Amino acid sequence: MFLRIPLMPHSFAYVMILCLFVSCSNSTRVEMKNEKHGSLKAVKTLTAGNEKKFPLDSLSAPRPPYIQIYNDDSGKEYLAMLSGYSKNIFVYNYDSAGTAVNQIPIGAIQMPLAFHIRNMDSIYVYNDKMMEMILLNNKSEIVSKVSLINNENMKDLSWANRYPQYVPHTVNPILEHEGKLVFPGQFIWTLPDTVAQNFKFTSLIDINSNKVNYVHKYPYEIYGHGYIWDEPLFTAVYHEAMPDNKRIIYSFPVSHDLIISDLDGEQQQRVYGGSNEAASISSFDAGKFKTKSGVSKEYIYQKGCTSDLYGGILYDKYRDVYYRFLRKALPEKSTRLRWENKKVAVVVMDKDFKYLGETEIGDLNEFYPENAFVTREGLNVEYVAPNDVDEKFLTFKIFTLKDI
Amino acid sequence: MKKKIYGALGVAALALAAFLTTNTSASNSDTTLFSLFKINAANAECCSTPINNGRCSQFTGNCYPNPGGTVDCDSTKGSC
Repeated sequence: MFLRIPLMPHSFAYVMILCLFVSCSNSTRVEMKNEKHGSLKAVKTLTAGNEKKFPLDSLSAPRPPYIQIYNDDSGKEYLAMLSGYSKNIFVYNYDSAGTAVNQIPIGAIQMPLAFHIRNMDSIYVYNDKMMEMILLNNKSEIVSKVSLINNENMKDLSWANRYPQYVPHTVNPILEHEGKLVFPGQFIWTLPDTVAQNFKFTSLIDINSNKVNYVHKYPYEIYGHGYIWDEPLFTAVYHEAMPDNKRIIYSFPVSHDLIISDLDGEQQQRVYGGSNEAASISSFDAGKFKTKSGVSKEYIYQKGCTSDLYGGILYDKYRDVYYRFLRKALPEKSTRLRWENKKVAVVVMDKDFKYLGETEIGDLNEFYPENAFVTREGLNVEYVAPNDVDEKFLTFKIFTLKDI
Repeated sequence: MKKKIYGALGVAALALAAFLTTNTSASNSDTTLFSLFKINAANAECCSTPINNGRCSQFTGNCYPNPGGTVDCDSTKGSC
């Protein structure tokens, strides 16, 4: 008894130390420092030039879920727009920007979120309801379906830890490479450490065999270790094919660096691709929550608003440069945080990712950088006038590169 | 006596209903508030059903599976 009494405080102390250690481990977070903040010199800027306006039907609205720019055999350029409400793909002549020249009904698809037109007799549409890629012919008949979760039972949600989910955007298009569709997906919530080590987010769909292969892992030092990024906004994956068409460049919202991956392998290379003005970006502070699942909506919203978050990356083959979007942080002391008040900037880099400059184009009230693409005219970014209640047009502002 | 028990049960049921309603409306008002700030307004709407097996992303407005984690919406997509 005499021995036990003095031991009690020791035991208690050991437990306390252990708890403290575990608590510290759980509250670790990662901070992505912008190593070149303030030191980059701009030599180029983007200036807004022409505007393109495509008339919308009564059921379609601005900020459509997905747009594809493609050329037909004669080289004529088209803009195809998914109208989720009317379940049609409207095809416009890009140059003339008149009324739609074609309309592809996709009523057979329960929940279309993205598509890829190879030609008018080969149209792939992603059906989010069943997590499948559906091939339609020129009569909009279903030719084939490919499950992107290997036909697993959707009700058993464990598939979500093994297969990517898709939040498609125009700026993050379905690409085609050597007979395969390259469809970028993502993990939605915080990656458990064991998942982060193995999870692959890009689907390669073989056009001939319909086999699906998954490639490319999250950078472990950012998304591993149980670091908390508890909202798809932070775990999004933006991609673009590099000019050699053998490699993919990835832009992660929370990383100033870009990751280059071989399309046919797991080799990764890191290059700096950040903004001169973006600050450090840190993961959620787990110390503020009792459990990881206890992150409040308010905290997530505030984190989204007050963090610099990168977006899509586009290669401009006409000018041999890359554009990378950035949604700039709002000041933490703002009285009322609104996502739409975030400024949109575009970082421009040369083909070797050397910084050329960055331009603030406006805020998210008026620009929708998820709908952006490159044409001969320049960088097209969807513009929605804040006072536009008629919603009669899909509008793009076209930005061109100028020397400073 | 039975009436009292039934009465008490009734009061409890009413209280529970009021509690749930308050909670639901609070959560709905959150959703509505955040839905104003959604990144992509197209076809995105989290909804709550008895199935609730997913978690609502407030920035996309979509309900995604969240195996082993918290759930507040139906991720079966299109069933509500």
